[in-house]
Amino acid sequence: MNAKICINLGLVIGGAVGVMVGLLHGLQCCTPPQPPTWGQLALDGLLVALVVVFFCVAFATWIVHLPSAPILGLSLLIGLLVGVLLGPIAYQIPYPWLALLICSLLGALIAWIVCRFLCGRSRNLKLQEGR
Amino acid sequence: MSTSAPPICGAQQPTTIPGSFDWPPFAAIGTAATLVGLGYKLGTTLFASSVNGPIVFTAGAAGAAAVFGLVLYYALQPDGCIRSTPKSEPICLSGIVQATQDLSSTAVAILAPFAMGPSGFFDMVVKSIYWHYVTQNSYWIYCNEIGASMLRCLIKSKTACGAKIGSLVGAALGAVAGAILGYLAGAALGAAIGCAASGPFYLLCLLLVLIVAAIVGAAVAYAGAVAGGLVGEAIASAGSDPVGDSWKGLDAGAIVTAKGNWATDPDIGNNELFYTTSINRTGQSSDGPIFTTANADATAPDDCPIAPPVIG
Repeated sequence: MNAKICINLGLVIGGAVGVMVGLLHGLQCCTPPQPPTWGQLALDGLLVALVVVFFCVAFATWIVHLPSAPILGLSLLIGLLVGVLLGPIAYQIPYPWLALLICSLLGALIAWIVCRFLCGRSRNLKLQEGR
Repeated sequence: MSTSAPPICGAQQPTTIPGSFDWPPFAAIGTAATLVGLGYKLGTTLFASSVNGPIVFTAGAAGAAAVFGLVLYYALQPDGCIRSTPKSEPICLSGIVQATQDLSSTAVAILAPFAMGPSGFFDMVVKSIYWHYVTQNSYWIYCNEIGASMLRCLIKSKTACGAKIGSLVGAALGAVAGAILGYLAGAALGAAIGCAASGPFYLLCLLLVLIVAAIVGAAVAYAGAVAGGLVGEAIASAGSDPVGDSWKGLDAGAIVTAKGNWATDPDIGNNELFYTTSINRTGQSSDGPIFTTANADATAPDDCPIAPPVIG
């Protein structure tokens, strides 16, 4: 697996979650105003991440001609983690452009860790099979 | 003839390919963030009286900025268009063509002209005196079915550069229209569903409006990129393409002398010509269909100016 794919996916999904949830910064519902819970923001982040995953998979499959099943699985895994973890963080950042930058970098980091874990695991399995 | 041992096919080194930092995605994200910042500033100025106007406009701008960033990412690839190809050294070598492959895709040319890559490539079974071009500093060696080492020679697309530049211009124009249309779509949806600030799903409802604004903004910017790319392709298709024309005429068994920029593929690690700058067909081999290095060595002397050093 190429780490570039993971990092690019993390950058894109993280950036989207950052800017979209970041735009909600300061908005509160109800009277008296109640700040959104961590769960609500994680759900918001997940929703944005899933929408972006759909577009990423479509582009990677139809335009870049990457195999659809592995890309779908990888994107969903990265999207799930990035959406849930970065949604609450993005809400706290006052400027959407800053939220985009910070969350895209964090998204790339999360995706890189995911790929390190997956690649290390598959390499270990191959080594065990070889013995 | 070389006295060196034949190259070993496949992986050459236990270490992974040392990749340089891939900065184009970060440059694209930085540009998108700048555009989002501009959109936010513009939105707060234009729609200061509206409660959610600035953020809906920014969402439309963000969608458009995402597409511009995508087009910019492809434009910044080191393919000899805006950025030069990875520099190594110009080489000349000779051998027999084992196979050619067309990499062009009508779907990509129409749906994503900014993502066009090389036209195609041919794999050449090289003469043994050129083995070091295949092996030196490589991490992977391509061989045919009977183990003859080959060098991959990539052919530059004549229209890809025009398509990329056209897409960049089209995406920039489309992004402006996309931000406005995204805002209008988001505002219309917001008015239709009426997200109530008193409801528990206020943020989720607002997020839905923002997502729709972003998707419309992205769609309009993408349409601009595609239209610009098609115009760029049409402009770039004028004129002659001697290397591309020679490559289209190649088939298995063609004896060729090829010149080009010698590089190592950053993903697979094989040495290759990136790109091929000259193809001189000097004959047709009657051996085959699978060719050996001995077949290549038995062909007539090639017209490369200087014989490469023998690696012993």
